Amino acid sequence: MAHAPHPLATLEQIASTPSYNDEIPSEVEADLRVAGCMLIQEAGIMLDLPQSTMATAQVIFHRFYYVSSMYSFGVNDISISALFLSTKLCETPVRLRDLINTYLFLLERIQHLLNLPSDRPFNEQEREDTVWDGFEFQVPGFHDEVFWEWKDVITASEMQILKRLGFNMQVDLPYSHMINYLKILDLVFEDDVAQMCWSILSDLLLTPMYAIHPPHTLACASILLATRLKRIPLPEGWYILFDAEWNDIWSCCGHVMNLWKDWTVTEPSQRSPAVESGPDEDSVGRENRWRRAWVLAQSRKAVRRWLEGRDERKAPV
Amino acid sequence: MDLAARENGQRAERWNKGIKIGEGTFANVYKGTEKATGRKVAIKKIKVGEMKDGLDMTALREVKFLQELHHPNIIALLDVFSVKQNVNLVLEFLDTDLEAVIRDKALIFQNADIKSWMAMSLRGLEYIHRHGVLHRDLKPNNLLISANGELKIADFGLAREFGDAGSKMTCQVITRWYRPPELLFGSRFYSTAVDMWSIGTIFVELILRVPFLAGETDIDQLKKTFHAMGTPTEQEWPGYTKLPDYHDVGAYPKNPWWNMISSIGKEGQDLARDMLKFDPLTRPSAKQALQHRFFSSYPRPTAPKALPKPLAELRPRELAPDETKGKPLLAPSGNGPMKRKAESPQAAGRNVARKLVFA
Repeated sequence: MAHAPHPLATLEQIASTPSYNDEIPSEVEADLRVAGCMLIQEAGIMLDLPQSTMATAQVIFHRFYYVSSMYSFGVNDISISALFLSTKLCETPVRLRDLINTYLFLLERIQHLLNLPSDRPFNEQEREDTVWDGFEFQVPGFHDEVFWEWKDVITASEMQILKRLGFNMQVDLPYSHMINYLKILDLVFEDDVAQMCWSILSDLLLTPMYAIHPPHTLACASILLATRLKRIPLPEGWYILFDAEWNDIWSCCGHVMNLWKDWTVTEPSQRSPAVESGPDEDSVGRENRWRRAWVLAQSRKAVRRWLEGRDERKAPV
Repeated sequence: MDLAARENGQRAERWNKGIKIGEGTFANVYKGTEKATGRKVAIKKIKVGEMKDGLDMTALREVKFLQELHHPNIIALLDVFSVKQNVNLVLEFLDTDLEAVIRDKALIFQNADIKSWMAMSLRGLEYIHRHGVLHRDLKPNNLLISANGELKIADFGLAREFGDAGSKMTCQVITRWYRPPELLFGSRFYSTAVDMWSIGTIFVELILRVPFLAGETDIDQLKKTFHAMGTPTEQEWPGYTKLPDYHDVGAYPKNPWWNMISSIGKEGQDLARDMLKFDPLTRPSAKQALQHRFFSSYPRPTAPKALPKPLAELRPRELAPDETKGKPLLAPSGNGPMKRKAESPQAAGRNVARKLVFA
C-alpha cells in the first residue's frame, strides 16, 4: 500500500469541510480548531512532552477535521485522543490517568472562566489578581467514574481517528527544514531569528495550515514572517530555492497574523502591553468568541444545541 | 487524505477471511485470500481488549513502519482496515520461518544455503537501517520464508526510529538469546549495532543448528556469552564497566570459539567474529557486512528457489504467541529452560515467560 509521505487535504475538502457541510460556519470551525489545539499544547507542556509530540497530535487533529465533522465528533474528545495517539507514535508514552487528570484540570479552568460574568473581561492585567479567585481543582480518585468514562471516550475516538485517516499517521514536521533553510540563508546566528521562526511554526499549529501545505512551505512561511517582522531583507525570490510558492507562504503568514489578532496571541517579537489596550469593544467581542469556542468544544452535543438555537433564532424573522 | 472511513468498508470487502492459523496474546492470525485475484494473504487481527489503554503500541509501530518500508526482503503490508473496534492488518502470506527450517533435522544445510539466507537478511536489514529504523527483535522466528524461498523480515512490533541521537531508548528489547551484551548491561543509547549482533547469533545458529547463546536469565545470558567468547577486556570494549546495569559475572578465559563454526570456512568465521564483537562501535554495519569477502567468495549463495525447505511447507505454520505480538503471556515464570523468552518495553521487570508452540 503506497502512501504519500505527508498526506494533505484535497482542494475539495478545504473548500467545503465536513463541518461546513453540517452547517457549522467556517469561522466557528476555525475557532474550535484553535481551542482544540491550544488544549493539546497546554496539556503537552504540563505533561512535559517534547514539542514534536504535541505538533504531531495537532497535525492529526487538523487532518481529522478534514475528513469528519464537528457535528459528529466533539472537539475536546478528539483533542485528547489525538494527543494520546501521538504519545504512542512518538515513543513518549504517558499514563492515561495522567493525561486524563491534566485534561480535567484544564477543562475545569476553562469552566471557571466561563462561569465569570460575561461582561467582565479577563485580559492580562486582571488575570493576575482576581480572575482565578475561587478556582479549585480536585484530582479525581482512583476509582472515580470520570476516569473510566474518559478512558472509554479516548479508546473509541482513537480508533475513529485511525480509521478515518486510513491508518496513515506519518507526520513530517517543518522545524528541521526551517533550520536548514536558515543556514542556507545565513540567518541561523542572526538575532534569534531561528527562535522566532520556531514560535511562528508552533503558532501555525493552531491553524489548519499543517494539513494544507507541505512542511517546506510552512518553513518558508515562518522565515518570511520572521524576517519581515525583524525587518531583515532577503534576496528576491529566495523561496523559489526551497520549492515554495509565494501565494502559499503569503497566505500562511496571513493565517498566523489573524490568529494573533483573534486570540490576542502577541507577536513573538514584541510581547508588549501596547498591543492590548484596556477593555475596548474589540476585546469584548473577542472574548465572546472564545467563550463560544470553549463551550462548543466541550462536546458534539454542545455544537448541536448551538446549531438548533441558531436556527430557532433565525426562524421567527 | 481520502475519506478513509467510507473506504474502510470497501477495503474490508476486498479480503476473504479464512481459518485461524495462529493465536497470540494480542492478535489472531487468519489465512485469507484476496477476492479479486485469489492471492493468499495472512490477516492479523489485533484484539483491542477492554483493559488496555487503547490500541497497543506494538500494533501502531507495526502499521507505521510497514507502511513506509517496501523491500523484497521485508514482509509486505497489503492493507489495513478495521471492523468495529478491531484492527486488521493484511500481510503477504508466507509459508514458514527460519526457525522451522533450522529445527527440521531432516534438512541438511550447505554453506551456500547459509550464505543465501544471510545475504537476504542483511539486505533487508540494510534497507531498514538506511531508512532510520531499528528492528530490535531479530530472531529466526521473525525471519519468514516465502513459498519460493525468499526470506522476509517480519514483526516490527518493537521497531523504532533512531533519528535522534540523544534520545534514550529502552534496553528491554530483543529476545534474550539474540540480545547483545550492551543491552544486557542496560545501555540506553544504542544504534544499528544491536541488530547486527542478533544477525550474528542467527548466523552461528544456522551453522550449529542450535541457538548459540541460550541464556535462561539475563545474567545467565551474559555468563553464557562470556563463557563462549571470554570476558571482554577494557581494550576490547572500552568503558563497558561504566554501563548502568553493569555486573561482574566472572572472568572467563578467551576462547577461540570460532573453531566451532570452522565448517563455514575462513571468510564465514571472520564475518561472524566481526558481527559478534563486544564493542558495538566496531561491529560492521549491514552494508559493510554485505561487502564482506564471505559473500563474494566461493561457493556462490544458493538461489532462493533451491533452498532447503521443511517438508510440511504447505501446511500453514503455527504461530507462536510472541510471534503474533511482541508481549509475553502472563504465565508464571520458571517454565523450564527451553522456553524462549522475550520482553517488550512495557513488560520491563515483570518476570514472565512466553509460550512457544513448536511447529
